[in-house]
Amino acid sequence: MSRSVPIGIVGAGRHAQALAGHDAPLPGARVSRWAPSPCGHDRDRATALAERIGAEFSADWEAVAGDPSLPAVLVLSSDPGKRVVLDRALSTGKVVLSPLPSVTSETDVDGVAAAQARGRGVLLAPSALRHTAAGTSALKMVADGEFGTLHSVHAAGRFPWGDRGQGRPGVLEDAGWEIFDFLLAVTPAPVLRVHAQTGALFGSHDEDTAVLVIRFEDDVIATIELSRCLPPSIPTTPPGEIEVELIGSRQAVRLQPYATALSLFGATAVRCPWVDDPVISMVREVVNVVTGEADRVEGVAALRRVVALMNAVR
Amino acid sequence: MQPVRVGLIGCGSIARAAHLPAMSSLSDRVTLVATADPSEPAARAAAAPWEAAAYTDGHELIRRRDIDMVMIATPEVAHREWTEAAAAAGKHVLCEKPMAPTLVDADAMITACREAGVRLMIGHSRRFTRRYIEIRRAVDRGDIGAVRLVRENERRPRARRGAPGGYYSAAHWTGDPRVSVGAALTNGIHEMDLLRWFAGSEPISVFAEHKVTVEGNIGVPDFLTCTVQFASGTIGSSEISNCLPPGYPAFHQFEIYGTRGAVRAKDHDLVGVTRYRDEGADFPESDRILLHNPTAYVREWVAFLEAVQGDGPLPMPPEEARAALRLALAAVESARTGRTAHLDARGAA
Repeated sequence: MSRSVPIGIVGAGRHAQALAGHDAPLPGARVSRWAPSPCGHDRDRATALAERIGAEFSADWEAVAGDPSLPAVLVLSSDPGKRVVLDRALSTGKVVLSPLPSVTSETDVDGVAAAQARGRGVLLAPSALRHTAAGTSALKMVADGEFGTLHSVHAAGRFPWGDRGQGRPGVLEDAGWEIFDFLLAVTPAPVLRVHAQTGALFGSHDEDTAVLVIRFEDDVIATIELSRCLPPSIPTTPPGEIEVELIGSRQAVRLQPYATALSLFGATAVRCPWVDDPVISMVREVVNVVTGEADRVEGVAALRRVVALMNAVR
Repeated sequence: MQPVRVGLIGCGSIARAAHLPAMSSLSDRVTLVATADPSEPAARAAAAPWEAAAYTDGHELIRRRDIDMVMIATPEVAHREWTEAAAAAGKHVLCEKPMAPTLVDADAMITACREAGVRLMIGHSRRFTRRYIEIRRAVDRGDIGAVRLVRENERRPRARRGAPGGYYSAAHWTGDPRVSVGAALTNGIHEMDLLRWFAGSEPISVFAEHKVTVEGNIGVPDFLTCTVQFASGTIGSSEISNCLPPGYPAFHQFEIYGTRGAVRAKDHDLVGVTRYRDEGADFPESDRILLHNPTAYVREWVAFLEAVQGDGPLPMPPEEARAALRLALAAVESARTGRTAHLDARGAA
């Protein structure tokens, strides 16, 4: 029987909480050490989560990120200043998982790439959307020859109004990373042009609505609508209503990854069941990289694409 | 009151699917006197239930003195010719959407009918569809506050494999680049009209992308996506796709978000009947109810007849159809150039 891979965790954001709430052994992995984010704001939560799953708590994130006994580190922090953790872990040769948004500037991507090259580490920086049950299934369907040629992608993210009048990040910063990563996962071609229409339409100080039209060099056209437009009378669960539709030459796939399920409309209509939280799928990918079962890791290259797209839209 | 005597020019799919059934249900108010179509069998088939005359040349129909109004159900490239001819003969005109392929044609149609003293209405059927009427009422009552975001998707399944003459195929006029502008007009004119109608403001810019997706299409853009900025600050967004698999259940997804609430009419939440067979699932109510809504065409006819017979206002003045056309053509320009097209907020060309 193969041994489970020991992993360290830095941070106690929403993915960390989902991981700790997983009601079964992690697939091929066990959490050995857990540290709070560098800024320390989630120290109490990290302590509680470590205790909950029987991991050793360490107040020293650098010690966990550089621990030579850990082949992999998950950076599950909501702290925007997580670049230092990535640098530390990558430069010590680890497989590092940092869900988007991990770093947000091209300068930081260069820095992460340099750290990876120094330490021969491997970075995985996916969106949660890509690792939802629906997202994973949809990506497989599109890769399948039955889907045909991808013509267009339509993605809509609708979120509650929130606290009107209070400053908060624009909707692009909140939700764009997830959608962009998924979009780039189905469209390998470079972006030809981007048009963005944005506005503060629902009483926000910051931009609460963004409608984007993106054309890729392979002729795929994507339309992305993100808006904090939902009144309180429309019930939603985090992260909001996300709908993605992929239209191919033979099939169309429509998914609501955080709501109902995935439906494939071709000769038949197929609905796929739920599986685990996205973070469990991410852990599985980390283990596959550590054990050499993953045949290809886009890593920094994928991160560079998504950061470039976000900057182009900005 | 005597029934209005109708001449039908163009006896293709929209006449068969929408206008002839609507006229049949209004047989106490209209009489089909004559039909015309370059295809003689099509003209005869449309005329037969009414024992009407059938022509292959619409001018012969228009020369008849016993016709009060002309229903034009031809491709848009011919709308101006038939409208001008009908107006010159003193006949009212109900014309299928889109109004025309160019604003020059649209203006000529308006001028011809105004100078002849006859009524002209363009058949934007969705303005007469119950769901949009209810949404309009909700917006007018202030139920959702100020409209800030209007978004809609048009999804039309392609013809089943082996079936002839689907939209944008080489065998259908919508796929002929000599007479068809493509999705922006054939389907998209509905979207442009609804965006503008519900935004309650004039567009000031539009950005669009389009492409060919339907198998066998020889070059007419059948896919279009666009985002529209209105003078009020409202944003509009619409995407039109015509290549969905035959099993796809939905045709239109429409949502309006306002400062106090929202209205949503998403077809895939409204599919009432799903049938499961060996070949897979299908949605027998979708096509009849959600796309060719029979009552919408009846309402459209009633509205026009009341304006003609009662001399009242038209619920859909031709200037409104022109405004939708103006936005659609701006979207085409944007898609062709890859640049944002700007429009005069006062509604000029």
